[in-house]
Amino acid sequence: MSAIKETTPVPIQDTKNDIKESKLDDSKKPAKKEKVVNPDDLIDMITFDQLLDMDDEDDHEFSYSIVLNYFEQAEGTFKDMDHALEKKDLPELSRLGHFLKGSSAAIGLKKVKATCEKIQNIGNRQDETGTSELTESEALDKISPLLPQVKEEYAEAEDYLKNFYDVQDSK
Amino acid sequence: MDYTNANGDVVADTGQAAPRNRNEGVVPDFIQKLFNMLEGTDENSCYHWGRQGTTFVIEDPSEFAKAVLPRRFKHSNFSSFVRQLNKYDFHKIRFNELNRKSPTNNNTQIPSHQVWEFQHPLFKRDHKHLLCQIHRKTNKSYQASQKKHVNSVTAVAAGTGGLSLPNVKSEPDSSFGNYQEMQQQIIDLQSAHHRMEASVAQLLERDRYFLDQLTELKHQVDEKNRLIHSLMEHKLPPQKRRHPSSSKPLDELSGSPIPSPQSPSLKLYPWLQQTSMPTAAPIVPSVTSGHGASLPSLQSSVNGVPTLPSLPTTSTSHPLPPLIASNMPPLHAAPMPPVTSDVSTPSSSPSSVASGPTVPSTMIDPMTAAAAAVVSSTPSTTSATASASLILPPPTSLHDSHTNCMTWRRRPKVLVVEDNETYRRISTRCLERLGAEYDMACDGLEAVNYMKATKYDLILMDISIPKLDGIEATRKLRQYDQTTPVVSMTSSYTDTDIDKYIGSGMSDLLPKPFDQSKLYEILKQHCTHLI
Repeated sequence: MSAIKETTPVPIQDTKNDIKESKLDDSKKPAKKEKVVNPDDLIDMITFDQLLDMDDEDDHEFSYSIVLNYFEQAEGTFKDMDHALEKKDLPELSRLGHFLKGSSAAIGLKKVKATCEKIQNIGNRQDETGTSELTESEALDKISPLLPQVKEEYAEAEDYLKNFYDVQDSK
Repeated sequence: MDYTNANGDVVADTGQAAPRNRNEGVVPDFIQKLFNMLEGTDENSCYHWGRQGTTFVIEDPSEFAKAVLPRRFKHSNFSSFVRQLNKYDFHKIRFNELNRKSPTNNNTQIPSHQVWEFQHPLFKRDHKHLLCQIHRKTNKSYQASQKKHVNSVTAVAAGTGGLSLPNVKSEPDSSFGNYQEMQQQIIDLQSAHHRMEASVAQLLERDRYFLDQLTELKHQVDEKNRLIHSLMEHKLPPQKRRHPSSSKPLDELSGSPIPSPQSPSLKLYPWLQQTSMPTAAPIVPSVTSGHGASLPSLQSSVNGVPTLPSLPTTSTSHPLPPLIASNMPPLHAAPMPPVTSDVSTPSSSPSSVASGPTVPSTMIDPMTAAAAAVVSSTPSTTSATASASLILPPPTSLHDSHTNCMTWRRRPKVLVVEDNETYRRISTRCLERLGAEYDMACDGLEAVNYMKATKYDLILMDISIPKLDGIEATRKLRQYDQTTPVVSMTSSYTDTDIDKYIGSGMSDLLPKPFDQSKLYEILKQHCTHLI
């Protein structure tokens, strides 16, 4: 019980301290502290905490498995997205975006979720705000850069989570 | 020579035999005296035999009383003489306007009421042997004769017809007897009445006593329950503490007690947004001023207290008490820990060094303290309570939403329809922890198949699922099933969406990403019959 108590507050404190630094550097600093330096805008701690809540007391097996599962899912989705973009299949892209958006939100990965939402909307030929219509070419144009972006953001989140669990395991 | 015998009567010494007759028995002195007197007189005196010696007559009672009575008896009271005659069962014979010649006043007509004639069946001139059979009457008959005598005297004095003798004799008997009987009955009834009054008072006393005892016991039991719950909370795993720790930023939480503030389900519970913690200073005092008379309501108010007393200083908020529905306890039990840490931090300073584990203890201390205060004060008050405190319904025994497993009478069957594996796993994990059984469907068609095959207690339906979307699947279900609650899990909940959901027959909304407490609430709400 005490172990968990110590671990959960720590990331928050660390990240808060490091927000200032990371905003300047815009990079991770894994060596500085025990935890990965990641600002709050990468991951929503409230949601992530709830996921951790579902774990048994000292054991993060469940949430870790969820996270691992998510990694698999995401990587598969990215591949599918690439294929869909090649085929210029906007509806498929939209569906995939929606799909991954859900899982990302469940874990609390804010950036990934936001980008997925954009992909979903544009795939539906709506612009990012979801209001006006887009032509197919417009949509495809808008979507293309989003894919690498989401992958990048995903990589960020992946690192963070891996570190989180690595640290957890070591403790 | 007259001499006084043992009775004190003057007995004339007539030389005749002593008052012993030839036959057995003793002739009473009075009778003997009377007989001798009559034997020794003639027609000229004021008294003599009458009717051939079967009666004796007193012509002039006044003369008789003045002259004869003092000589023969001790007194000169004619009434006493008559009374004595009655004692020996002599009967006065009435004259009916019969005038008789008075020997003392020659040829003077004397009013008949002045003439007394007495008769006794055994007192006859020529039947001296019968005299010994004359005896004094017993009390009862004597009283009867007294009455008769009184009646006869009054009748004679009035000089009118009046009652005839036999009637006079019988009526006093019966009426007196009746009177006595009734008297006795009245007395009996009165005493019975008194006894009943006493016993009723006793019963009332005992009843009051029992009621007080029962109330007292109830308080104690409730208090014990609360302590047990507090202890259970204290021992709960970290997830409880995470909420206080994650809610450290106090400002955030003051407005949104539910962790997902944009949750549209708040539309269903708008009053939660109004106040952070719907506890009431009025509720707590009104509970303390409550009267133990109505036990169920008291129990509910006392049970409601554990969720309230940790915030004794919050301002009153009246929307809460009337709006308490069955889903209220879990709902505000969920936001309670964050807000509790919120308020308890300033209020209880030493223990508010808010590292996680102390927060539950601060909750417990005010709880038990307030509970003890409530329990001790409630029995002592007698005034009727404000209705506000009585509106609180009895919450379920586990008011803590962070308990991992509900105690179900029967495990609820839940169908989870979700294509995203992550969500599926999360939902099922939550359901596991809440003690529910579940089936999983990955798309709409599968869902419909499951629903046809089994009756579920709750269906968690994702909207964006392949093959058949959630709305369609729900419509299909509603064609033949109106009762199973279908909760839509979705990340899109605009107003139009909500209308669509409701239109298809959905019962509730669970926004994604969801948290365990929200799922718990929904489960509890729709499966209250299984608790």
